[in-house]
Amino acid sequence: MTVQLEDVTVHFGRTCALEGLNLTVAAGETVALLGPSGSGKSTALKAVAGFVRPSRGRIRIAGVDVTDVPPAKRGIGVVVQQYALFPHLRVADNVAFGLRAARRPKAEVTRRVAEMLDMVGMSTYARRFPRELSGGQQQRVAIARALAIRPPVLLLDDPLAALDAQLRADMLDELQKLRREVPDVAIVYVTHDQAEALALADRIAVMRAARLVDIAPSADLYAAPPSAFTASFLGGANLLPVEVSADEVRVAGHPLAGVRAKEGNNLLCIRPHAVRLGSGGLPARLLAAQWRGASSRLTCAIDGLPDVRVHIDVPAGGPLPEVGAQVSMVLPPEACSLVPAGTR
Amino acid sequence: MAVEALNFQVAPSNKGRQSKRSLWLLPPILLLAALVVYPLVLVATESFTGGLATWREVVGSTEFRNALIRTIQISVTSTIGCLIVGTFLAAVISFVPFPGARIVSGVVDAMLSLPSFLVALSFTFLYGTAGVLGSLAGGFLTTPWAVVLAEITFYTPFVMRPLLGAMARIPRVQLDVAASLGGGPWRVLSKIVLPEVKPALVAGGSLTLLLTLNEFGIVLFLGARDTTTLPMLVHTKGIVMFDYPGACVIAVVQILLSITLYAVLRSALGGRRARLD
Repeated sequence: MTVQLEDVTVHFGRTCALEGLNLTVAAGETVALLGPSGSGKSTALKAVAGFVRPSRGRIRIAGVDVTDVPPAKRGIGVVVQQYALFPHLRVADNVAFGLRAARRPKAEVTRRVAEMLDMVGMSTYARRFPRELSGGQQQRVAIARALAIRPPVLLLDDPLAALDAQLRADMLDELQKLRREVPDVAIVYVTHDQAEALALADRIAVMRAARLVDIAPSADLYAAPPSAFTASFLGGANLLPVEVSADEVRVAGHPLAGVRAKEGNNLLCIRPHAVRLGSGGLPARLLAAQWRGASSRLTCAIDGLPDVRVHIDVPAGGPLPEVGAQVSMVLPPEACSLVPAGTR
Repeated sequence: MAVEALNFQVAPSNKGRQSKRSLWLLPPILLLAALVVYPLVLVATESFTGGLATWREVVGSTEFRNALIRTIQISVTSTIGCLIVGTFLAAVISFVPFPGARIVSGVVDAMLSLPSFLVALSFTFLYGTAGVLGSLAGGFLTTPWAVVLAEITFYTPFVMRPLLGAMARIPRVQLDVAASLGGGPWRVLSKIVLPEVKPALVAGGSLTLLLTLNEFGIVLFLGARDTTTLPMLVHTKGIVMFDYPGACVIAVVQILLSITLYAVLRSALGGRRARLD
């Protein structure tokens, strides 16, 4: 394991910013730390980088305990949301900073800088100053700078958060390509955006209130979320209260065929795109419809569950029922899973 | 009739407003002339009462030349000392978290409000013949180094104030990233922090250079034997020896020196004068 966190706890004064985090990231693996602000995800990254000192627990990199090692001696690549390029240094000198700090021979520095700038497509900007670049370009330089020192671990702290939507999508492509360029690097990717986590990560660690909630391969976490919080934070699942008896699951009194009951799990989780409108389903009322281009998002309330809002994404183009109309909601059993309530 | 009256009224009122505006300029200009320019002109004319002979005599004397060299030596050495000590202290206060950093920075501000001769006075208590460290210092007070040390002590806060402001503006995350790239504290300071606070360094350094060039209180209070600076010479000639024209010649040189230095620094700083905090 390249990165190993063992019971890592961080306090800032009296507030606990991270509570007993256990996490391993293998070489070549991308793990996303996903959570809302204040969930401790950035603190975890700072602890790995050495910017904050854990009050408890150990951090190992490639088997070596680095808990008390200063950041300069850890050899980790770090990319932050605000880019943090050195404003008085040209792009090439920014990328060369780590190599020069390591006293690499001049020829090697020149070659490596050219190689890195080429990799992120910034070769023609080598002589520019950071202030002359757009946000996306600055972030590419920041990535090149972090990877120039050939770190075994790359930490990305919400690197796309400061970019606008279109640029974010482009950079997501770039990051996926980059992943293939550095196949052996362990990447920890901190984000609050589930789309980024799903697109990039092999495994996702969902965090909340300074704690790790769930960690699993991305596909598993999405298909069968182990907790209500993960279900709603990752992919915005609908959570419906159900009555579970020995062999039957009921929603608002209607039995759901094909859904297997689990002891203690009394919330039904289903993704908005999996719900369909059709005959023979649960009777519900359409409360609102939002057209979102490729799809429309409908908000419904099931009869008998007036306080629960159910979101449905239907492809655009088809006819939509009138707002206020009575609809029939079909929950395909293969798209349903049960999660325990209470941890929401 | 009405139109004529209007016309008559409109035209002069415009002019009147302009002359009124320039009227506002008059009091400050008169005040400046009376309080600043006139005495300086008096000093300048006084220096020429004996014709150019006084100038030739004073400027040609070894006494003057030694004082000029001494003044520049002391002020340049003190400024370099202030820059080194000030940068070190400002960096520690800004980037090394320790309890009481705010108090220290408050003390720095308080130092700016103290009169300079207080430092010299305290030095006589410390290093004087009857002072705490008197036997150890052994006549230290009578050397120019005492003046340099006192000036560094007193003027370092003038370097630190703009530096602390500039260092506070450097994002912490930038230093974090520099550290993660393998930059040790020394490299981060020299390659990242110092280049970014250069304007503040230039501003603080030039201010100190100007002030130490004209420093009088510290030199007078320490009264070191080999330490006759230009302001001291003006004092000796004018007040002690009643050679008023001679004193005025040196005073004019002092003024020219200060204004020249100020002009050079202004152009060196470019449009960044505002950073003189």
